[in-house]
Amino acid sequence: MYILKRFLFYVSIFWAAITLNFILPRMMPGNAASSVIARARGQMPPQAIKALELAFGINNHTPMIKQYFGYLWNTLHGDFGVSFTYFPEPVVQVIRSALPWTLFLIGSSTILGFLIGTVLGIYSGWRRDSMLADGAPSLLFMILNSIPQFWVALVFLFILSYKLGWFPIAHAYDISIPVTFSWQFVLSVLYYATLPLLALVITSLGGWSIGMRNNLVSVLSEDYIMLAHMKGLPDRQIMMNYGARNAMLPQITGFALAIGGIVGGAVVVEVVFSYPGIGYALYQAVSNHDYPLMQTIFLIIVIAVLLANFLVDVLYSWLDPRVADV
Amino acid sequence: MKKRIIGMSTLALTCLIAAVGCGQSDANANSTSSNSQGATSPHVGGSISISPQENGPWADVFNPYSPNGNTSDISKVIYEPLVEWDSNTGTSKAWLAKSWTWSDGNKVLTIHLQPGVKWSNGKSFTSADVVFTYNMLKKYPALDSNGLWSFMKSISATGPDTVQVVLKQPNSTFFYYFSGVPIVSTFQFQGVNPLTFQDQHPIGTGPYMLQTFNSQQITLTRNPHYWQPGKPYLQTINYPAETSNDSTILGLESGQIQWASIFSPSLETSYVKKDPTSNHFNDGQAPAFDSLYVNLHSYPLNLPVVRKAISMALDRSKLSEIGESGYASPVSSLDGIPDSLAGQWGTPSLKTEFPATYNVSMAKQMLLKAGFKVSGSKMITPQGKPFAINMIVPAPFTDYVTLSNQIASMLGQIGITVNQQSVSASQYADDMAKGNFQMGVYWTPSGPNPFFILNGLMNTQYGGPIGSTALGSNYGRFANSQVQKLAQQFEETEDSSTQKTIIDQLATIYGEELPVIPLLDSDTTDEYSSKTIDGWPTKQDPYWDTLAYGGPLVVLTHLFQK
Repeated sequence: MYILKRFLFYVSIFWAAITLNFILPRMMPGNAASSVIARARGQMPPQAIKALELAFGINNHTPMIKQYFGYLWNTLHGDFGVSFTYFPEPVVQVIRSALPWTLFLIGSSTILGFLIGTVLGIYSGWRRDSMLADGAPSLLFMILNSIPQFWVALVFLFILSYKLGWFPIAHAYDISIPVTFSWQFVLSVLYYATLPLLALVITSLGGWSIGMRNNLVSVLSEDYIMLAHMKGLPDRQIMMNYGARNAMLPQITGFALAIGGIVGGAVVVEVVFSYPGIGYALYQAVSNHDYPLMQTIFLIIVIAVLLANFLVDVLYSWLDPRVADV
Repeated sequence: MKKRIIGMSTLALTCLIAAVGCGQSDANANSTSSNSQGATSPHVGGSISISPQENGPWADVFNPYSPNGNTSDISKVIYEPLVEWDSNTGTSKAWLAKSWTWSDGNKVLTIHLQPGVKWSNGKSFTSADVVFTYNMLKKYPALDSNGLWSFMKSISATGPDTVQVVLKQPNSTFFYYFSGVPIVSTFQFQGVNPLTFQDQHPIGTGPYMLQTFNSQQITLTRNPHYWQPGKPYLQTINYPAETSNDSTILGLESGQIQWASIFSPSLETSYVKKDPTSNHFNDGQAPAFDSLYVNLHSYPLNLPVVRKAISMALDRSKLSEIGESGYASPVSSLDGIPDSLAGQWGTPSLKTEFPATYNVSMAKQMLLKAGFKVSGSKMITPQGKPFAINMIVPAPFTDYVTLSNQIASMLGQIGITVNQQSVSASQYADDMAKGNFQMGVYWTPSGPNPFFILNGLMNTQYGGPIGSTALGSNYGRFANSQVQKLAQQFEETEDSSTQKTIIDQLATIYGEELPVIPLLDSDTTDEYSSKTIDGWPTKQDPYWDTLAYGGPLVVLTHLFQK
């Protein structure tokens, strides 16, 4: 019953999200045809705007309500149309080529950030009286957590790529290597992903670590921890099995939500490193008034986030049956 | 004309780079010097990497009619037009058309095609393909971006190598638009919807054909069936997807990219200085202006004297220096004829009659004489209201942002308040086209002679009512019956001396009314390296423009590996 209720709740959220998804892009001033004209900066004759409007099927006076139901119908049938930016490439094709890069880059950085951050958080939470293990790192993580991602990305790009030449400045792999599953290609992908990955991990590390530390500190003041100490259990066992395990629950929730956010990508980091993922595609879609591409990317993000939330709900009701009774 | 759309990230990066100077990164600039000696006669082989302009991941679309910026640069190397036009001088060069003649009072155009042209799969190219291509534009108006079929009555093949076009009325601007259309094959485009056809395996008549596609790089290879014997010389062309100017700059400096048309204020010094004999930076003039458009339906901008006063208050050399790093030169006269076309079409007496003078006190005097008043430091209109103008500013075009800022402060000196309103590029183009603006910096149309500019800016045909999209560049909605009459006369004649007389008259109207205030001659900035590749246009033999975008067929058929 609880699960069914939650499910219906998510269906209505989904409807609201895709409706907003339809309305918001259309409130942006300008349109796809004028974007193409602007982008060409005089390389295209101004009279071309008429042909562009015809090609994109805009300004054709279809009533908004009709457009809306057409959009709902197409969305439910998995028909996402043709991208304006990559016209006439279907949106599905654009997403198919961008999504793997984002899943790889943001996925691995989320997992790395979570694992490293959590382990560091356990360590500083356990040794919370030590300046070296807790005080200094906590301060550092606070700082890292508050630095904007784009700034870290830009500084990395400028110093490590541009000034020192250690890392590439753009692309997802060395374009002179043929795209096959060869060692050379895989190594090149890893090399090109290093800086964006580093930027993402460093900026997300702090949040995981601070969260874990604080959870652990409050758990460690519980009576059963004292009891464990009094029983003479080894420290390591108390830290991991009694402390960290119980402090982990909110972290897991956070992680599930972060996994949901992966497909949304890290727009800014992908743009800075010209990384051909979903975030970069979204940036292009927005700047080109590419409604079909924009809507589809938002739709994917919405579905991923809702799915992650739903899974967390299910997981929670299983871990803590009291939740379902409310 | 050049690309200066810089995203927020690249903008910030450019600032960082500019602050430190680009000359210090020391990639492998000297590693390929062994190629610079030895025989340099044209032979088949070698390769070039070109980054025409900022480009996102490539789309797998080679249909030359698809309206996206991604492949227009590359498809136009695969699909050729009837005639090539030099973007800087407006000169034409016969291409798939060998020659053409006008008859029947300039209503019938007969085109003789190059004999022996083949598609890249070995099939013969015939007049039927040309007829098919233009008829496809008739069937799909969305492809006919120049509105050719508003002029054309019919097109037919009168022989395997001849095509006849019949016009509704004589029109001397028609040929420029008509001849630039990429010709596609009947066998490939028949039976597909050319609007949604991706054309992933293009077959063209051009010097190169597709070898491999991936979204990060497109590689073209030599077309063995090419109709120009022995050409092209270079075996492969690589088009890396450079999504920012910064990665293109780095590629140019390290020698990984040999040809680009991007703008960067540092390239002239940093790129050329690195290897002055091989690295070239070409600041070309385009036949167009960066101009200040004003809405002629908005008081007091509808008064010619006000527009002239505004023009006089602008220090154009400062605008060029600060806004465009000195590359786009300030206009010297207000007759609407750009310097690059002035040699053939300009008239010295007009230049002296309408000089682009900069004189702040005289500008103020002009306004006072026209009934304006000064109150404190503000100018008051004859209607008794403070003279204030709303100016739209395209946020992504950093050079236009700078120009707008400068203009606002210059007009402030004669007491005009300019309220700047920052908008997206798309909204900017939309507001201009619909006439939803009071003032804004924008480009003008261009073409092989000044008629394309003057007529494009002044003919009511290109304006229309405020609120509806202008199908041309008369954004300020200028209306003058004399312009309509002269335009019709111009379109009816192919005789260039008659055309010049008409252009003189149009330029006079332009100078007197000043519907659009010209600021700077548009320019193009091209970078190329002759370290491993020869055959470039030179000062001694400037046979063509050096633009890397738009399908540089003429230069590509001249280049060869050293």
